[in-house]
Amino acid sequence: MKAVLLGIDGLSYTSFMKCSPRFLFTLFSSTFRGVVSNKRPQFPYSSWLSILEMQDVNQNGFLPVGSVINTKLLSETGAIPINLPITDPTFGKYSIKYSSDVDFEEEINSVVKAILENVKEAPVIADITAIDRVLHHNRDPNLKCKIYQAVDHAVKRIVSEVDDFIIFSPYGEPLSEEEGNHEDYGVYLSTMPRPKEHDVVKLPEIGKLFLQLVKGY
Amino acid sequence: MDSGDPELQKILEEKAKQLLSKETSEEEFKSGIVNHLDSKNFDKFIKRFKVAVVDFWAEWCAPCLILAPVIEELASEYLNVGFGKINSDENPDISAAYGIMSLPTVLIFKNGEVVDEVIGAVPREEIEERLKRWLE
Repeated sequence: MKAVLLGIDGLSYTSFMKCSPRFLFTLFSSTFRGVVSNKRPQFPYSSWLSILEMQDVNQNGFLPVGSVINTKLLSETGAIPINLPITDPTFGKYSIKYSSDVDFEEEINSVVKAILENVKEAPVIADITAIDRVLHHNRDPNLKCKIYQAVDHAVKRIVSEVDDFIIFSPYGEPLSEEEGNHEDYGVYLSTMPRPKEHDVVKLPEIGKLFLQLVKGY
Repeated sequence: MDSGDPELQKILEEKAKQLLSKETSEEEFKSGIVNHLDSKNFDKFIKRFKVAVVDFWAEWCAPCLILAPVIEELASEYLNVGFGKINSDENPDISAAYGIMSLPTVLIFKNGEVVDEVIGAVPREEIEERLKRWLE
């Protein structure tokens, strides 16, 4: 079974109407969906560690590069990490400097390539940081929709190659230059149903759902 | 202001309180933005504007989040219309009173009465077209 947990930090339902990501709209109407709730301040490292440890983690800053990272979810699923923003540069098989200078297309294409190369061997946990990295400093709506289109194509390529997926954002779009200032609600689209669909999705639950998806219990 | 007459002073103070309270109440709802409504201020809101638009939503409702920017955009352009949003889970009495069965639901009110209903995350044009009918 080819399974992917794909984070797209900053992806927000509030831009679906404006940017019209066609494939994400298709997933929206054909898969299990939900709303990720994560109140301000939200940071990539603490949000992702809460998913990877399957419990709320109050991490202050990125983990030191080179530190031994073996979170509960990675060890229990044997998943391959790709571009996870828990260290700077990001952690995993593909890694970038966590900065708005890194080209969004380069990151997106490289993450897709890394996922497709690795997902045949083991489950994959990957992240696309482009929306979050870029929009904190440049909130031009045209640029935003360009990134949404690139993300949309990337998701289409990934979904067509895997059996099961959870695609989510740990929080919504950046609201200002201030780190940690995002919309409180993120996206959840998955082949995996949730027990209480009329509840918001909490970060640790995403990790637990992926574990369940991979292990089958 | 000290009039020197305690009785007159009391009357003046009461009058000042009444005026202040009226101002606060009128400023409670603003044009150009989407006002946050609840069971306490809902009736006042729909009566405050000749035409009002209310978006019923819930935190877990993804289509509600898709629709939200459309309502915000309309609110910033139709300054003669009152725009509000109410959390259906937190205010079940209001949802029940208006028979809200699915989310998001947008109700259009004229003179405090429901005159139109739009269900689902629809494009801006669909709500705008309905709204214009009630502004004529």
